[in-house]
Amino acid sequence: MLIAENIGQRRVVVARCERSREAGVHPGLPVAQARAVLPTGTVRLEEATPRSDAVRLRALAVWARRFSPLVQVDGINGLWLDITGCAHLFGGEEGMCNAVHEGLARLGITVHLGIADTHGCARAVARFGQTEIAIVPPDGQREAMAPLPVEALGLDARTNRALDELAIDRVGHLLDVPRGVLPARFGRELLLALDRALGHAMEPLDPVRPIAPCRAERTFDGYTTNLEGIELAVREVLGDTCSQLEERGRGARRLVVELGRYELDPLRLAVAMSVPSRDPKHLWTLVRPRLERAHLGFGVERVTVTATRDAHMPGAQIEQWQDSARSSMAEAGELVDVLSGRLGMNAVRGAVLTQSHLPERAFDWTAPMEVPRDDARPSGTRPTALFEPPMETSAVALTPDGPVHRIRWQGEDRVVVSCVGPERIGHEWWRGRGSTRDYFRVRCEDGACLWVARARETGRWYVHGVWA
Amino acid sequence: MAGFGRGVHELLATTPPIAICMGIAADHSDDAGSEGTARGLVLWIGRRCWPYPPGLVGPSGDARLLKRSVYVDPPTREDRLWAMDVALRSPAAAVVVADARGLSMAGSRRLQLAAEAGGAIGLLARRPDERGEISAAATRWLVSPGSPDALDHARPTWTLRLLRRKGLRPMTEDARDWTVRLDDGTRLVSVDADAADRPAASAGPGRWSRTASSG
Repeated sequence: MLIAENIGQRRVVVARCERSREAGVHPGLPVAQARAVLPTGTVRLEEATPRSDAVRLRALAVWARRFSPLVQVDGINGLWLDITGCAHLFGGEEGMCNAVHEGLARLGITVHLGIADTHGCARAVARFGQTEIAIVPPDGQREAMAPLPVEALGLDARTNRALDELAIDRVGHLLDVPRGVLPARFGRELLLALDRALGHAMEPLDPVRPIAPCRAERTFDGYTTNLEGIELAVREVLGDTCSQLEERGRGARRLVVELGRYELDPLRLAVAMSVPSRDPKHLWTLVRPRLERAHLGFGVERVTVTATRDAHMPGAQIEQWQDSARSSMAEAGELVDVLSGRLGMNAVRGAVLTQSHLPERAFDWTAPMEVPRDDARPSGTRPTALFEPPMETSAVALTPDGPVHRIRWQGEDRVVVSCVGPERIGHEWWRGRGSTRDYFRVRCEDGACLWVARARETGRWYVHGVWA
Repeated sequence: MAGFGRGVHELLATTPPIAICMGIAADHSDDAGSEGTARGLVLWIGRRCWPYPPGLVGPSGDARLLKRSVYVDPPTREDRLWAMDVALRSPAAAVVVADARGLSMAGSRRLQLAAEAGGAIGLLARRPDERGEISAAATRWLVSPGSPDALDHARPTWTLRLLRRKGLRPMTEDARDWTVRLDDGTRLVSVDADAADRPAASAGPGRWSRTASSG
């Protein structure tokens, strides 16, 4: 498995799996060369997605806050945790490493860990160290860094090249060079990086700060089973949540209404919106049917509403400026939400065309009002309704490959007055077995228009669609 | 297709007349509606009347109708009636096409009221044997395949026969049939011999209502 990216004119590998690594594929290698190294037919190539990777890494940084309050994103694939005063909560540094390792393994992520007094040193031993988990003892930076390659200092490519020309390839070599000559030759950055790694210079922090979801709550004066009162409270709390969303310029995509019940687990009602919304009236129409069916138990004490997913939604003033397009979008979203709220998400769908020539694969179901990814076109004149599976029938053709003469449809033999075809549609061999079909547009004596197919292998006839 | 105003219309056919509904939907869900407002969605309620998506795009590759289309699959008859009602009431829906087999008089009145309140066009696909059922729909049509000796032999055509129009007395036999075909996209054009070169709007059912009221 390789992940590739276009750099200029070339496609190069940006990441690879363990097995490719063993075969000698390294990031930066052109894809063509990687293919040559790996056994044929085993390469799975995927496009790099740097933007969504960055989003995921940030999400992982928020996850990592369970280990330390100060988490910073490091490069494109690293996290830096300031664990000062945190390690003892996990039974020491080793315990902490194990906890992080296990937690990430459960998420399916492999990790290299390094612990040291300084950011630079921890980063270097994690990324360039020989072991999966490296713990540098206090004040042991110098010893830990010395055998590592100079790339471990995280310098720019130009400095790395300059060092390479002087055959300085280990950090230890640099440490042996008199301090005074370094800035003159390689700039101040090198010295600063070295000092930071060894703990002689400060390193600024930029930790991630998770944004708490919009949330509001009401607590009753004791437990109540009065549905009207609870409904009123939910509406109020919805209103509060919506005004919070408005302050942030956000709209809710998913809401959770939580009812704290007496001696029972809290009841969570989740509703999802197809278009971001912060209209309390609309949200209430989605929540109300769920609330009416809810089991209140012996009473409800607390009502909480949390917008667990939200999305950018410009303010109301902008809506006034733009024409009615946005509000009609919101109205459409509301209709879709109401329908899918009762019938289920899978019962309310949109469709987009795909590139497939096979009639039954020529489209995909999507969320309603989805914008198609590419402009697929139908590959020919297509009927208005398709039968899935095709209906087997009998027909008479004058010659084996020739036009249809008579066809049986809806229990009657019909004379064909016009037959356009054949349009040969081959099966998609890469999906396994299938048969090639010849399609005819057939018009019967009584005016009915059918899309008739003949399977070439078996010679059987099918009605696959109609112009109804 | 000016004849299909707001309100619900019944179309009786052995298989749901999807092409006719497509044509009406294409005419009535444009970006700029008749009042200059954007009324977009076309809802297809009930699997039986779902159009095949590539057929909804048409050979010209114009995917606007497909983008506006929402496929709704209510599991029961009650859910179907509810979905039609909600859709017709919504200001977002332009055209609501529904599988309405076995719709009761009370149900049809509910839908007619919903359509009047919401301003959408409802197209109810029913079976020809339901012709005797009473209903509150604005019009009732019988849709059948057009006879193949029409101008273009291979292209599908349909004959629409107006059976009933609320507030008008029955019309004479010859004035109420109207033959249409799909153009290269998803719009309906009339193939009436006397109206072959006129746009469908002027040759549509509007013509009959005048014929009917004057005759």
